[in-house]
Amino acid sequence: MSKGSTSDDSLRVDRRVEGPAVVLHVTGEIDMSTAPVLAEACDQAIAGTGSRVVVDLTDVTFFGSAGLAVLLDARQRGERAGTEIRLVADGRPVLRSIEIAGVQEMLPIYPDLAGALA
Amino acid sequence: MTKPEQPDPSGDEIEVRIAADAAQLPMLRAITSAVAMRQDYDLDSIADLKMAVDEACSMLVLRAITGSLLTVRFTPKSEIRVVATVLSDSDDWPDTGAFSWHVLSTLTDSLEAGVSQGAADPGGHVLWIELTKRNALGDE
Repeated sequence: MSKGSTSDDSLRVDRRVEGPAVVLHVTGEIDMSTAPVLAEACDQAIAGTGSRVVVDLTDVTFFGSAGLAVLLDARQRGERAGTEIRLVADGRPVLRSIEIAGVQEMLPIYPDLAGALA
Repeated sequence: MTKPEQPDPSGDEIEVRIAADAAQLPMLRAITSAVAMRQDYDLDSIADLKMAVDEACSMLVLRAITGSLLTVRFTPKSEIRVVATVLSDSDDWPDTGAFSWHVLSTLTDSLEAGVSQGAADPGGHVLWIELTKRNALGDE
């Protein structure tokens, strides 16, 4: 495990700072058992950052409602802390979950990282 | 632990018994994908079924007695029927107000859940959930 990353058997979160944003790059499957890994990474990023946390979900291959709950919660806490949460997603697993849940309005999604950092 | 059922006479039924533990969810998703793929489901329907089974089993695992088993039975016909059961201390099931329930009902073509009395030994309540999913192709 490299410095600045947390991981589980099937989920890995790498963290880096890019300009004014903290970028969390998530790889693997987010379900009920791995969602706490993402929650912890989000907490840490919100606590340690200024204005923006970008959660890059491009390499997420499964995204259950537990993952959605984590992101909605992070968004709420980010709002209180003055931190904006942006998502990067272009694949079906993540987009479909967000569509089904009907939370597109609450979670701003960018098709690529450059867009989320702009 | 579950009520006895007649085996499917066509012999296509698949029953999985696995620890009622969230760590087993990836295995259940893999099996679900394999079942849907063998029925020639399109990629979107496979992904939806995988998500539905994950949500259903997550809800059950949360309520299961520690160390007990989760049973998932797949009956692939013109649609795929999935019945999942666990043994629980509580009969407070299902929580139709939960976000997971909403997701499940959107993902599936039919959805039912209920509670039946467990065997005298070891007791408890059998929580079950039954869902079906058709292949989206030809549907739209």
